[in-house]
Amino acid sequence: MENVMKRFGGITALNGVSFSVKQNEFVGIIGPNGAGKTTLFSTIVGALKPDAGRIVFRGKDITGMRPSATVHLGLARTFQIVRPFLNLTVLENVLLSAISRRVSRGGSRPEDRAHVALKRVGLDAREPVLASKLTHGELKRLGIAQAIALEPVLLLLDEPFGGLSTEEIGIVSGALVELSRAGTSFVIIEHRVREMMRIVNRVIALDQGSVLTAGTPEEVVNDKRVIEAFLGGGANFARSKTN
Amino acid sequence: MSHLIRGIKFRTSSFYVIIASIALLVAVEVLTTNPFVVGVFTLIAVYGVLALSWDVLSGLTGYLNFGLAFPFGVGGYLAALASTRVGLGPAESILLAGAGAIGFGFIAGATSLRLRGHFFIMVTLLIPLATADFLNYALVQDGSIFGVNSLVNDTAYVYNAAVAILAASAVLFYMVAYSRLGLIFRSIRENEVAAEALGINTAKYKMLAFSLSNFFAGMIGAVYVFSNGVASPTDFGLLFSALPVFMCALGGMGTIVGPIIGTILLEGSIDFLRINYIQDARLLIASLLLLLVLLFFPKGIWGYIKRGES
Repeated sequence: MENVMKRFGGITALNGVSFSVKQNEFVGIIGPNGAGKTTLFSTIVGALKPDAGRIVFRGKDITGMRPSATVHLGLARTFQIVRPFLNLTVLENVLLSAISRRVSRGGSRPEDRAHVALKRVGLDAREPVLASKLTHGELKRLGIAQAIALEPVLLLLDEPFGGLSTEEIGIVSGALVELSRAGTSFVIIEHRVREMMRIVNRVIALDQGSVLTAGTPEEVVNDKRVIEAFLGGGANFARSKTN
Repeated sequence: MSHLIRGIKFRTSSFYVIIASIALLVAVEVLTTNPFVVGVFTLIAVYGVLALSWDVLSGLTGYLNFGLAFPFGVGGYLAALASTRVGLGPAESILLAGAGAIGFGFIAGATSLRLRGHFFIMVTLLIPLATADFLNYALVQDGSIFGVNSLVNDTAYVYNAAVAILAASAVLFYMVAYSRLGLIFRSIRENEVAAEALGINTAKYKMLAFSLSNFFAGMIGAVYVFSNGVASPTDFGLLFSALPVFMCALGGMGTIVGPIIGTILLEGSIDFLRINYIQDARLLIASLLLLLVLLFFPKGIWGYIKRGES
């Protein structure tokens, strides 16, 4: 992203945001409510058109491109508030992603990719169940399975751990780490900072649409500006990685 | 697109009902020459195609089209022109009507499919009514094309053509509905924004559903004109837009089988009870019957029968 601006009337949601994500990188985004985190994701995938600036993905300018087009370039996202197809089964929900991503990186059938994605998030036993019957945590995992089935090169995760139990967080984290080993890069927005710190390489802190600072997790969460902005002072996050 | 029509199961109760319905229609012609009975079943075939055409778009994608009379009427007029001005035979005219209905429908759909909800309904409702008015003023003889008489006395040809179009549309739409393509259509109905986020080009697929619907509606419109010997602005009337909706609601929307069941019940009861001598009574009877069924079977008859399945 290069100097991306997005305004909603008199409110500047993104104020000249610039950052990059390298291959296989795991980047975390933190910020208080209203910092522009979800707007950032929506702008990247094309759900919102930026008012200024450029977004380049794998050498291609994707600024303002439709979401259905950016998906086919290898971008995918999950939503903070899950958007399942409630009257379709769990398998059908994920099969849609797999069908949409017609040319698989591994050459597999859409049905097989859907099964694998659901197994990774621990929902394989719920395949024939209607999405309307799932718990909140299961719906969140379903959203992640949909994204996994798209075989993204870059996956944007908007609060993937929200509403998940400790066990579910472990399952999802494991799935993401496995994807990372397969070459997928991630950008993750998460309020559950401790859980996020275990998996990210780099953190970007946003506040009021601007980048406050960027660096390793320890550097960012101990930055005075970040602490002042939303951590309430005196925070000390010990970081340990699962891998 | 071929990768989207794969792995379809034909050993299902839905497909058996479709085959049985087609067999019933074929049997009618073999078993009787009574012109009234053949006439009723011809109308059943005509409305059956319209109901199926409505269901493949509106039942599956959720875009409630109240303008099915537009491709129906366009098909009829194109067939009338092809027959009277160019001298094409019935079969060629019917195919041309289908193709032309797609073309004209493309223009209508390019504007209307950008709208959603009640705006889409309003625009689709107005298009055929506006077209009828235009023809009334623009063409002589109150906008009608007379002299399309090649099949007026050939009830067997009309019936066979109608049944063939019904059979083709029923089988094709079944394949669409129960394939990956049908799943994509249903995702648009469930949550179009979410479908876009998964990489589904919803504009493309909506237009595909619209075109499938228009193609068969156009062809059956041509058959209807050939059976009457005249194309008139009344072919764009509300009856041809509204009755198929009632039939689908009665039988079960989004099921492909439902429209067939709804058409047989509704059109059959109207015609065999001999209520059709009052033109407006069709809509009245349809409304009353629909009210009764929806009170007890909100998902339609086939929807009720299949209620245990996802």
